[in-house]
Parts: sequence; C-alpha cells; structure tokens
Amino acid sequence: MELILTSRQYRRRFFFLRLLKYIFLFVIGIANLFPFYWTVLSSIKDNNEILVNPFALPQRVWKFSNYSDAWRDAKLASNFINTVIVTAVAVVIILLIASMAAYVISRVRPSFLLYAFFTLGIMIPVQAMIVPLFIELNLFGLTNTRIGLIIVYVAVNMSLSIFILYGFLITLPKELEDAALVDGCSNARTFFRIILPISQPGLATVGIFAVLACWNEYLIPLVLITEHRIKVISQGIQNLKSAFITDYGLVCAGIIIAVLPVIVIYVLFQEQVIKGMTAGALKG
Amino acid sequence: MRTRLRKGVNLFSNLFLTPAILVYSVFVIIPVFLTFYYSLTDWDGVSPKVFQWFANYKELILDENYWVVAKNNFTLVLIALVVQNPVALVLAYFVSRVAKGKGYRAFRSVYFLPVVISAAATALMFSLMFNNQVGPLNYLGRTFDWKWLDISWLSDPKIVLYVVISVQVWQYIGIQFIIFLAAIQSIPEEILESAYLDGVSNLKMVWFILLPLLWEVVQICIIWTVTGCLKAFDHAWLMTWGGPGYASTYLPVYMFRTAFKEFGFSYGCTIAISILFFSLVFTVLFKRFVSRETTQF
Repeated sequence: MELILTSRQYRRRFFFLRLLKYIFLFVIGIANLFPFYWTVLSSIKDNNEILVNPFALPQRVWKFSNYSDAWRDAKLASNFINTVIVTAVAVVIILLIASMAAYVISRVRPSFLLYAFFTLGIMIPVQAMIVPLFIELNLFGLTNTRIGLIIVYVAVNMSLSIFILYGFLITLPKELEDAALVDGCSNARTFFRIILPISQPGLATVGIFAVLACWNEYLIPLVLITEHRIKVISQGIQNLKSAFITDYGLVCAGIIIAVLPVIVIYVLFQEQVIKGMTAGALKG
Repeated sequence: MRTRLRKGVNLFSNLFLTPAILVYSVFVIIPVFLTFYYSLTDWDGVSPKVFQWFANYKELILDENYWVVAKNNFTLVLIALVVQNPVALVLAYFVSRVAKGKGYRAFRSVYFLPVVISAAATALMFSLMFNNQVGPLNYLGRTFDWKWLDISWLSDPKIVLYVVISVQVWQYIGIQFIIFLAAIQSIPEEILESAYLDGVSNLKMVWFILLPLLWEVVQICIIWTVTGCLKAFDHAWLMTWGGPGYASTYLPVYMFRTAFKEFGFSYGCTIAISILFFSLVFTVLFKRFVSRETTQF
C-alpha cells in the first residue's frame, strides 16, 4: 500500500516535469522540421505568395511548374545525373579497394603500421590537401572530368572506410579462412566468395556513409570542376542562388530536388545511415 | 612448399594493397606534404615558385584579417562546445527516457534528419529563411511589429556570424545527439532507474550521473566538434561568401578565397597548414590533458 502511494506521489511530482520535457522535445522537433516545411510549401508558390502567406498552402495557384523549371532551366538535370554517376562509381570503387586493403591488414598479413598509415587520414582536413590536389589533377589532365572527381572521392573516403571495415573484419572467426584453405580456395577466391558476402553489414555501413559523403561534398568539386556540364548537384545549388535569386519558389524547388534522394535513402535505411555516420566517432 | 605458400600470400597481399596505397598516397598523403612545401614558397600557381622559408608564416602572424577570421572560427568552436554539446546531451537523455512506441523512434529520426542533408542545401535553405524580404522571421516581425525580428540577418556585421553559427548548430547537433543516445543506452538500466526512484531531478541526473559515466564519449565528441568546426566551409561560403567584409569568414573560407579567388596559392597553403596545426595541437593536448585527468581516479 505504502509503495503504491509513494509511486503515486512521485508520479504527481514528476508530472509537470514530464510535461515540460515533452514540450521541450516537441519544440526542438518543430525547429528541426520547420525549415523543410517552409521550403516544401514555398516550392509550389510564386514570389508574391511566399511574401504574403509564408506559413500555409498556396491559396491561388499551386505552382508545380517550379520543379520542371528548376530541372530544365537551372540545368539541375545534368548536375543530378553527374552526381549519380560520380557517387555510384566512387562508392563501388571505395567498397572494393578499401575492403581488399582492410582484409589484408586485418587477417592475411596483419600490420599495425599500415593500419596506422591508412587511418591517419581521418585527422587531416581537406583544406590541407586541396591546393596540391588541384595542381596534381591539372598535371594529369583530370580537372573538369568525372574520373578526376571519382579518384579524389575514393582517396578522401579511404581512411574512414578502411577504419570501419578493419574493425568489422577483425571480429570474424579465424576458422573461416582455414576451412577455405583446406578446401583448396585461393586467397582471392576466399576473399570474394567468403569474406565479402559475410561482410555485408560492414560494407553497408561504409557504403551508405560514402554515398552521403560523395553526394553532399561541395568544396572538392568547387575547386576541381569549373565546366558547367560536369558540375555536381551541390554546385547546382550554388548556381541556383546566384542565377535565380529573385525567383524564390524555383530556388526552393531546386533545394527539394537536391535533397530528395538523400531523404529517401535516410527513410529507407535509417539504421545503417545512423550507424555509418556515427561509426567513425564511436570507435575512434 | 611452405615458402611457395608464403610467396603466394605475399604476392596476393601486395596485389590487394596496391590500389588503396596508391590512391591514398598520391591523393591524400603526398598533397599534405606538398601543401607544407608550397607554404614555404612564394607562388601564384602560374609563375615559378620562389622558395622563401617561413616568410608566409611571418606574414600570417602579422595579418590582421587572419586573426579576425581565426577569432570567428574560435567563436564557432566555443559556441559548438558550450551550446551544441550540452543541449545534445540533454536531448539524448530525454529521448532515451521516452518509451519505445511512445515517439522514441520519431524523435530520433527527426533530430538526426538535418545531419544527412547536404550543407550546401541547408545553407541555401537558410539564406532564404533569413532573407529580410521573403524570410518567415521578417514576415513575423513586420506583421506583429516586432522590430527585433525585422532585421537584415545576413548583412549586419554584428549578428551575421551568429546567424551562420546557428545554422551550423541546427544541422550538426544531431550527430552529438545520436552518439550520446547510443552511449546512454549502453549504461546499465538499473543505475539510471535507481537514481530516478531516489528522486534525482533531470538536470542533476545529467550532470552528476550521466556526465561522469559518459566522460569517454564526451571526450570524443569534444575532439570531433573542435576538428569539425576548424573545417567549416560550406555554410559560411554559401550563405554570405564570408561577408560582409570578413564578418562571417572562417579559416577554411579565408583559405579558399586566398588560394582560388586571389591566386595566393602559397599563402592559402600557409592558412591550410595553420588549420591542420590547430586541430592536431588541440587533439594532442586534449588527449594528454584528459588522460592525466582519468589516471587520478
């Protein structure tokens, strides 16, 4: 009886605090969502309606043409396709060569020195390499090419990818390779037939992290790509700002087009996205 | 037989390591050394380099703009440390107390959402939101005659830095939130439960129980916050181009502007090395200071 009473007292005492807590959580949640809400609404309005009616649905016309205009006139289409190509190719290459290297230094010929060498890059800000990258790519004739951008993306994502994959591979049981070796599998065969399929969770984490990193990168293409037909989506966004700054609805539609793929990935693969984005931090 | 096997393993290892080592060395490691080398020269990227030892560093120390910019950057670091991290911790604690099925997943998804969006898109979105003609804040200011809301957010040198910082905090608070959340969930439930039943208030709980238990994760977050802020480029560049004047310029923005807009390649490299220097020195000092701290326990 007494126990029930005390728990009731606690409940009463904490009721208002609980309420406050929820209000706080909701306010922060609204602060997180409001910019998206406003941008989506504005993307189907004309300038006048954005000005006089910023918080509700458009009252006169729903201007969906903003989307087609952004896609066509602002040439977001080519930015979008370039980004898809560069991101897809870069991520496949990252997954392949980072897992190959991580496999060797974790299981075949363990080497702490190489591990340290590879993970050193996590600490290096991209600013400390961007000028020589520009010079090097100029030298190889790779500025203003998708290949150049892909190679640089592969390089700058190498450290974290190897770091995460190493942490994953080192936990797998040693018997895996022994069994394969007894069955007469070569090292390469063991890697492609046994290790890679088993590593799917680790690869998913790295893959999603790399997709987001490549899709969202801005500084590297800004320096390496100046020709419009090679530009990527983050540069397209910048272009929206300077070229269409007076057509706010169109700019908003462009923003939505640029972030939609990322939001879809986030909704579909939330667990892996969160894991990928935090794996580096938690294990470091 | 054994040596042949050994040889095979070595051949395989070398083959598998080569692509990674090659790409990583040529496009990450060598550039860092080159950046340092360029910083010791006088070079605009076109005419021949003139080697001049540390003249650029001397210029850097005497450069008034550099220190204005550095101060902006340190302001960002400071605000991220004293506002972003603590709020993220409190949020994570609150959300960890929300039962699954009562909005736990919804809160978590919403708080982390801004992290995955590109900084470029966020910057553009907020440069519209803070636009003094179409922005909703100025709309409210005009409608209700609240003068303090109807101001030019992005062109007033006194507040522009804080506007840009607030956008960065908005975008990245989710990272620390999610890290703290994962860490809190790894704490045995009984500890929090018993403190809760003893009537410990929320804030006391965070300060006296969570913080000491999470100290290791807090350290990681602090290092990530500082090194992350020292790399901050996208928001400032896309919202204001670092302006008006140098009012919202960070070190990376100054570096980019110098190297690629004014073709001061070698001086840009000098600024880049100073960024690397600050983050390495901070990390090393912090780790040493903190490891000493933990041995006392």
